[in-house]
Amino acid sequence: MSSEPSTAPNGRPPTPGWVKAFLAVGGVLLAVLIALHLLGLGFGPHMHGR
Amino acid sequence: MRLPLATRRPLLLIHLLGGVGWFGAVAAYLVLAVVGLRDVDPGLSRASYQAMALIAWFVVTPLSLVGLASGIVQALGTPWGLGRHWWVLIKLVMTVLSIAILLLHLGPTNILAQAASLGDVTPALARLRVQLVVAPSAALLVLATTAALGVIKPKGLTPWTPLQVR
Repeated sequence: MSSEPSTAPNGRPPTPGWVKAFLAVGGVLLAVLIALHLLGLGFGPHMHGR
Repeated sequence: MRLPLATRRPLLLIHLLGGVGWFGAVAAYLVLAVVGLRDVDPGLSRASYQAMALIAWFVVTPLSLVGLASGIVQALGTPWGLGRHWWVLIKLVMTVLSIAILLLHLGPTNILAQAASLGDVTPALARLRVQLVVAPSAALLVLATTAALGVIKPKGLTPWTPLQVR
């Protein structure tokens, strides 16, 4: 049984743990990709190499 | 709007075919990209890059759009909705981002296909060739994740879900 309340004090349902974990991992991966892209170290369609 | 069962079933079938087909086509694209990158046989490598462009334009892109469109119609035509459940919303965002990245990679795929048709897959295109291995590899991971979300349907309502639906 989960002890998580069905609604937060503001009346909204709490964000599930899996969503927080998902967004955290996805956000980190996206940030790494964007950083690599901005630094010109990663992969992007602009890198045609010729 | 609530779609009748007779409409939802064929729509679900189209959605499944779009998603599974998209995954399979990207897997085929990845195999060709790896064959092209290894360059063991220059003739086979050039043929792979030309085939990749065909697969990207005529299989991957249409199937991705079919998957997205059928998913949106299904969501809007059922109680799931587009923004009520986290898994639907996350699946939608991941799909839209994937299609955007896919469309951005059609250009590089064309460049390689044209170079291959001219017999001009030079070492200068090495980074592009690596890119076209990395991108579909990441796409397979994303597509597997969206498929898992669709099967598992993890619980969780978004904060902006109407009160009467909760």
